[in-house]
Amino acid sequence: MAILLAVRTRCAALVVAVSMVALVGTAAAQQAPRPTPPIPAAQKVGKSPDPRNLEGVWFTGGYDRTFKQLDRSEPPFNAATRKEWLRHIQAEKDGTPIGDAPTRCYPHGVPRLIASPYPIQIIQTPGLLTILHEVGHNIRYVHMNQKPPANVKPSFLGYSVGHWDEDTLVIETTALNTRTRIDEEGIVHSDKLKVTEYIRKVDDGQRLEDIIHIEDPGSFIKPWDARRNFNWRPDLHLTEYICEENNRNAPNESGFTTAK
Amino acid sequence: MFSMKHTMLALAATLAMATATAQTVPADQQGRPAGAPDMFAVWKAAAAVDTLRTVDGKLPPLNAKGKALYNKRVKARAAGKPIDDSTVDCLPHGLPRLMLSDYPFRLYQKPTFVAFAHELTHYFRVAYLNEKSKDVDDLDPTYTGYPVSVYEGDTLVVTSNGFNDETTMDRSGLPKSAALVLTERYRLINAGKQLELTFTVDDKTWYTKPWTARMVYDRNETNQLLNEYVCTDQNPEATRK
Repeated sequence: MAILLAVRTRCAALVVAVSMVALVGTAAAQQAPRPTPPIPAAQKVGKSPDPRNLEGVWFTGGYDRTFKQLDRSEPPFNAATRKEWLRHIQAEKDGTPIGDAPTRCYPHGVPRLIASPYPIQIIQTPGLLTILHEVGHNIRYVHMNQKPPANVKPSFLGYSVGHWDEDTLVIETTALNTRTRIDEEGIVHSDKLKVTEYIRKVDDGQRLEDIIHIEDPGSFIKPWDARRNFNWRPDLHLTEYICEENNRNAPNESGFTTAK
Repeated sequence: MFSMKHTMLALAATLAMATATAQTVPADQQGRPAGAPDMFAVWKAAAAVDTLRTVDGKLPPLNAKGKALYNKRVKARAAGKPIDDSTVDCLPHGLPRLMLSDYPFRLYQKPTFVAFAHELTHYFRVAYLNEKSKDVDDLDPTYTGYPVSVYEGDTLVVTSNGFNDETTMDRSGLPKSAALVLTERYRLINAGKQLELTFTVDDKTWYTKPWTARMVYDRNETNQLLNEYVCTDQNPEATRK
């Protein structure tokens, strides 16, 4: 009996050791602001082979402040929304850009939040997938395998439900308020917006591909798709981002500010 | 009773099974390290704490200039014109003040970190397990500080330094400086129905010695919805906290 107990203890230690080796990263905390640091030549940490394990820190490779269709064409606007889009672009050219939610430190909305050039951290627990966003310390909660409750009050980040379709995570977000834009440049949306994301690991788990399916009959003549990709970054920890500090003159990576 | 060969075969078989199991456990079932207490839940204080008292029921041991600053703040607040409160402008509460609210938070436990996700201002922090604290001179001062964590038996210990001096210890205005080293000890009590936080404040700028205070949170349903909390200048909630 004593031998069997000893075996169990060693097994427990082995399980812990295996998972620690798989998941412990080389921490290299980055400071705001966030030029994209280069991916280390040799990622020291093994990726999970499980296609449904999305845990860890992910970071976009670049930042596109616009949303385009997969073929890079402009969204299939209806006339009113296209007019609004052009009005926003012109206002920026005129030096009087039209601010929106994150201008005043509100959450960016969906899908704009996930396109932000700041790392995210995905945490999976039974029935819930949580996405911590460095930008504005926003948090998205994806409630797994359920339908949204009836009469959800619209909010900046809406209500997200998720389920697995083979090895693709499908996230459906509704109940989005109309105080956000789809992109930074000027795509507005109506209260009929529904965003469906198809997320899967690609490139041997080094990247997440997010196909963003946008349905809004109040703004577009048909549904359309955009795409964002994220690189797996076990070398990064999320750092503090406080929008309300309005730190527009933070030093860049060379240590210089643009303050006049 | 067991032959050596039988035991070795059993050992090999069990180890092989353990290895296979470690590789195929779904991500959402990997949680706290083996032996760690089960604190993964939504936790909520029954009542917010406005003015911190030590575990002895006393006002914290302010030094002379700490007393002067605190009295100034208390007077201003009593006169209806509070000063030095970061949260009025929707800046963060910082620690330990954030832990004194009665808004719920979820405590995540993973093999390599613990994370706190709060309803109040959708704030979060991630404290990596078994990391060493950094030298305060190697840190940019932040509202969150630099938290590291470790399990000591049945207690989760989170140690943080590298705070800025933009916030106060509590709503009443107890002073807080960038010299703060905050040690939080979380322990399950009351048959796991409650989470006790005992935290020690070591801030030599304003206090004559370290002091300890205590909070208790009730366990709520783990997947309880945390509402979207958005602070704005127009949000009356902003001035309440």
